[in-house]
Amino acid sequence: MEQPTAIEVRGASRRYDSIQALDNVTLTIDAPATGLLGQNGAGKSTLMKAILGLVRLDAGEVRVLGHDARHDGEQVRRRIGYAPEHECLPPELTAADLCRHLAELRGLSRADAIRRASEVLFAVGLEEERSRVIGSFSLGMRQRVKIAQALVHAPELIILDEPTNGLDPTQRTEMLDVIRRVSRDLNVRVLISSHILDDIRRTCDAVVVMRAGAVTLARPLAAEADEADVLRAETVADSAPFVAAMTAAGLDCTVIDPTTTRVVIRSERDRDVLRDTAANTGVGLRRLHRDGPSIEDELLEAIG
Amino acid sequence: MSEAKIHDVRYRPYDGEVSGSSRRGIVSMARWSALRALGARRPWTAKIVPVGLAFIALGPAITALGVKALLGSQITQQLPGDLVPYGPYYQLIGFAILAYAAIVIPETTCPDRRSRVLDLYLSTALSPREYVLGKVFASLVPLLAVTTLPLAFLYAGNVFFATHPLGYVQDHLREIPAILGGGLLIALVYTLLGLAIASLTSRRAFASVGFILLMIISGLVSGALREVANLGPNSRLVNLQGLPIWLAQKLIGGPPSFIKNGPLQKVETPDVGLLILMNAILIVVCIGILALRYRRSDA
Repeated sequence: MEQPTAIEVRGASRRYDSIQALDNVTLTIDAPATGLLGQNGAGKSTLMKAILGLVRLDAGEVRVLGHDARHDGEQVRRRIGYAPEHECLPPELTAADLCRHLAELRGLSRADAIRRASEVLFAVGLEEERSRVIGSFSLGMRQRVKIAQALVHAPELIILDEPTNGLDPTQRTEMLDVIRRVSRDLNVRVLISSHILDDIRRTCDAVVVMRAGAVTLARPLAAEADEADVLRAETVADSAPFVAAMTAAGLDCTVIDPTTTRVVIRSERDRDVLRDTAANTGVGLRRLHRDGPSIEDELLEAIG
Repeated sequence: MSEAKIHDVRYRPYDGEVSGSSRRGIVSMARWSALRALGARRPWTAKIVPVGLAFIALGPAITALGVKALLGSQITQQLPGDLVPYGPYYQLIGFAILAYAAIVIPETTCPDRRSRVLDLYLSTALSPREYVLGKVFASLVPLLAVTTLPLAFLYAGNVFFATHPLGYVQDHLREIPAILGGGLLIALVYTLLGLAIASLTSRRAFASVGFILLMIISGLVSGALREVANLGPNSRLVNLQGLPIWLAQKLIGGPPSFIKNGPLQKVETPDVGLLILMNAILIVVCIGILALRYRRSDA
């Protein structure tokens, strides 16, 4: 059966006094993992709350898994999981009890809630700690509990608000691995908000960039690898023999000046040819870099 | 030989039933909140207050029945009345009821605000109304153990020690719904009042102090109205310490204790109609505060 589009936003606007939190936002989110990127105050959290049906829009509509988030908010929240950014876990409960409680709140029977609590805590790597009270957990473990509770009712989509906030580098890497596993192995669509570009690049298949309540960029990230990479090769001496050899090997080269050449790389093989040709012709490569703006440049410009 | 089962705990897509009804959510909220308030899965110190107050409320019933057990029904039947009648019983345990409402009820809601779990709950399909309903049940059912259980226990004991148990039940049949209804009324009013006050703060201690202050101030105002404005028994209509308790007493009725002075002495209270009206107003005000405090601010 075909899955409905995860999230469709059409002309969504929302103003808080003098702040335009959402400014005519229109976008479609349907990748396995989508990153919502933007600085603090860019409108990410408001958009997430609108997706959850917790924010009344001044204009426009948000559809989540085929449901109107505003009017069918309860139905939407039954089918998605949410992990808020801020601290929101009761310190006196064990991880298993919390997951079980939230599973029951979301409509699972008591027996199923107990089983699902074990499964999701296993999935996020907390199976050994499930009987410990959350108050004794590290920040990284608490973030994992947040993901576990969001998964406990087997949602089709989970929304993670700044899941790596405050984590040290090791915890952050572990958290990003968990998020990646959720979208790839558990087959749950993920929307993750962050202001850290690297988090999005490491976990997501698509990115939406927001600035001042508006979407400034929405593009797939995975497609980047399929696109031709145009490199600029700067050589120490005259590059004529190097260019001739590469052209003979089938690479598309354009000479810009005697020591600078633009080379189109379409595959890993092309990259190997470039390296081997430089070695075989004895031409020293001084610098090899992308010609034109990189995706980082593009994203950073969109973030503002 | 018992059968052993091996469960695979690895994550699997869930294909079981997910109830679309809100009942399961309300029941879950009520159960987990009540367990927390009663100190379940927490150190023994967290259990002292709720369990201790329940025992204090049972104290007069245990004493009365103990006297009957020691003296025997032949002697106690010679007494001019019941040692502890049903109606005035609440005067003896008023302190336990108020202390329970002040200390235990805030435990059901304040930690949710303090640790911001409320946001997490409301991001599920649970609505604010269902959340509050769950909390009402979580507070009401344990409070019934303080308001209804002692009188039910006393009634059962009186039946047990009666020379003709069936005759006792026939003579005191009217008391059964009155005891249940009166206990429910007291528990409901103080549950809503306790929850309304607790909804104003995230600190349990502030909620407890606020509840106690409200009781003291309303008692002082009532006293001042009686002395200064000469309002007589009607001055008690503003006294929250006893408003539902006096109504429950009127519902149960019956003769006062043969012990004329002390905690069981007869108290002049307002008319039933006025008591019903003031209790209804109090309930509506509390529901209004809860509705305001637990509305979705932006949806």
